[in-house]
Amino acid sequence: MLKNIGIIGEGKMGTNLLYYLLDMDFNLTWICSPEADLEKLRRNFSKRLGRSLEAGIIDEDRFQSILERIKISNALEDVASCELIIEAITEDLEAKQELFRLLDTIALPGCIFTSNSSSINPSILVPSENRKEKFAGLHFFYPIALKDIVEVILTQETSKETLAQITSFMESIHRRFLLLEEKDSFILNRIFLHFQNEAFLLVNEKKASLQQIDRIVRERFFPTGVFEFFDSVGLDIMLVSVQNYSKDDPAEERFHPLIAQLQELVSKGRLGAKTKGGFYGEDISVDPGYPENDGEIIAKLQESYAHAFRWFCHSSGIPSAELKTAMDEYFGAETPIVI
Amino acid sequence: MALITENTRKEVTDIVYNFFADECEVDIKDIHSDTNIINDIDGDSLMFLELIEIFKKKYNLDIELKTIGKYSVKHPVQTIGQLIDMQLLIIEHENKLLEFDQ
Repeated sequence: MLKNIGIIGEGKMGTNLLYYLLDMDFNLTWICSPEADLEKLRRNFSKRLGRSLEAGIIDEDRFQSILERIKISNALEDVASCELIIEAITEDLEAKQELFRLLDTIALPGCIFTSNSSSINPSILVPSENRKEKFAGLHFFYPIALKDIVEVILTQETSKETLAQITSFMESIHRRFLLLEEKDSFILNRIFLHFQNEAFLLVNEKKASLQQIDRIVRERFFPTGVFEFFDSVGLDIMLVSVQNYSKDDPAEERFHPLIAQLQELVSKGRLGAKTKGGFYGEDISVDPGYPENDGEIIAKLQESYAHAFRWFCHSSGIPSAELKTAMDEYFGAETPIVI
Repeated sequence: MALITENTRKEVTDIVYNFFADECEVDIKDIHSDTNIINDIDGDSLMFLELIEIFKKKYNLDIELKTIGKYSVKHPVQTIGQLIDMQLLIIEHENKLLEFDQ
């Protein structure tokens, strides 16, 4: 049973992981970047814990036990006694590789290394021969408490013992998971990406407006529109993800127009909601679209989603009911049934 | 199903305002009903989840996070006022929140 867990990264996912795991009985070491304001992070943590005590969510004993079980630091050496490390730093390949090289020199020989990357396969991050059997991807979705699904990505070298330990860990944190080989990694994002790309192509080919697409998507498919989703995640992040996901896709060329459009918007500083302008923006007037061709658009989107869903079901060997449940968790809502 | 009184609304409002003033380190006078949680005071959805836990405990609510998640996907919260309204609906309907929504 893994007991000592290291979390690396003070971004949205790293912080979320810390607070999610806090409710269990792990010893947690939270490593923040050297640039992070450690005092502020500690203060926020204390404030939050204090509020939980004050509201009666935890009692005094629990409050004390949490304080004893957590260490917040920016010294990588503090993970030296961890049995599992979850990396959740920025989506930058070189930064991740460098981090794992350093961890290789610090961590216990038996420590399991995992990455929460949403688009980089774990085998690219393995720092040395010694670690190859002890390495996997653990892709959580935000916010973890609401998204009961994790993608566990195994490399060809991940050992059975490591898999057993990860499986036991996932059960202990009450999260369901999909076991994926790297060829099917990030399957949930990739199924959705095929759908998003089809939606973009319809706009790009002037068969629909982006407002029309988002309206149809919200009414018939998913809780968030395609372009709203892009803007909400951030176009710079989406660009890297689309590039990573599409490069090994048999239909890689179909993603070129979307990548080109994302590159153009990013180069103009239009990064989405965080810059108050992305696909949507104050300079884009609301276009009602062409309601008379809704049926045609719906049919194309349905076909695209069904095709991607079936393809990844077949490729991964995951039963369609299990994959649909995972998609429901991913969206936090019922997703279309594919027969 | 709980009855929402003016007193409940005031209590929820006070908790939400104090929570965000404390967590986001802003003056409570700068928080208003139309304050955008993400853009204006740098809040996030984890804060929303923490508030739910606080209200669950305070009002002894029978509500699953998943129910709130499904509701909030359909009714995304952006402002403090919307958040207070949603918390009041949660207190009022608990796990029947989605039935109320249909």
